[in-house]
Amino acid sequence: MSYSSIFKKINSSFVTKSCVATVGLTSSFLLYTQTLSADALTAAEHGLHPPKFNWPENGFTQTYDHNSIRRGYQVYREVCASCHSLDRVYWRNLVGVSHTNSEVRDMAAEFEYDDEPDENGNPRKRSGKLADNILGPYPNEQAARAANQGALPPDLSLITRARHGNADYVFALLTGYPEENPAGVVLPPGSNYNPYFPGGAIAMGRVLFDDLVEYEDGTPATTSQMAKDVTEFLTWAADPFQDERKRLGLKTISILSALYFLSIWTKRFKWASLKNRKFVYNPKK
Amino acid sequence: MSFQSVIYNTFFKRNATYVTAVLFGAFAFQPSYDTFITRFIENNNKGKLWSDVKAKLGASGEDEDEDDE
Repeated sequence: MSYSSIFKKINSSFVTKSCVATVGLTSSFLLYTQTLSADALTAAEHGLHPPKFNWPENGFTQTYDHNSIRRGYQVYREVCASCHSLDRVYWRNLVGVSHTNSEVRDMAAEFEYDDEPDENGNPRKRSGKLADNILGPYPNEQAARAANQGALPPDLSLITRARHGNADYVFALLTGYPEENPAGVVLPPGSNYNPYFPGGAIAMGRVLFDDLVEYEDGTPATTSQMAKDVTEFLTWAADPFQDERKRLGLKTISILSALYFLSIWTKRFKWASLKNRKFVYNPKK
Repeated sequence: MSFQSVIYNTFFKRNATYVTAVLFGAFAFQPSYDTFITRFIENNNKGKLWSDVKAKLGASGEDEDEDDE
């Protein structure tokens, strides 16, 4: 190896090492600068982690509590629906889950949908059917923002799947408004303090108060009861096939594990004679 | 004749009976296992299912049964 090739080798490895060191030091420095501001990387910035709640559908064999889904729809309709849409859920999805066919038909009929135009081309309206989706309170995003001081109430169809902490987060957020803001919290105008919301300042105020709705099944409508019911309803809306998936999963996994152990037994049975063979070499004396 | 030899002579001995037993056994097994799992789930979740909600609704929940799936 000549002197110049040795030099090249040393040189290239030196350049590589310098690059790695530069990237490493720069990224460490950038991470460090983030920690210099007071609420960076703290619960105040990212929101408090919600506790794990004992939902009715937790567990391999547990279904949704359909009583709770039914009450949750009532809470959504009477409270949440004044600001939040639910437009990925169709009326027919509720049939056989929380309401009977005729109940859902009546609920859908209270809403007006665009119909085909008449013979003169004038737009017409018709009452809702099972095949329609649930209408939100606003016709478009601009209207929603205008009605809420610039804040957009998110669509709730998939909300429990769209936030860290899922259902736990939604429940913690709904019940997490403190009586009065902690000292030192500075909020932008028109916002409320909620420790579970990232940044702490949320445009939605506390909406659930005891006895806000009257449940038809006589359940006491406490704040946490309503929050639990509406969260259960929204969890179902985001994941409507969970009950069926769990049933099929249990069926599939149980039968496949039985077949798996059967195949192991068969293999051992078939190979037993081969594995236990003994070769003996007896040379002639 | 022992139980095993009865089984053997009825199903396993001849290929025709064996194949027939496998085919019809598969057809019989699927719905029965499905029913078994469904009952297991329903027993595990008594009071939480739609059927329980519907029973609570009483007479108002009785109409149009055939579409409630």
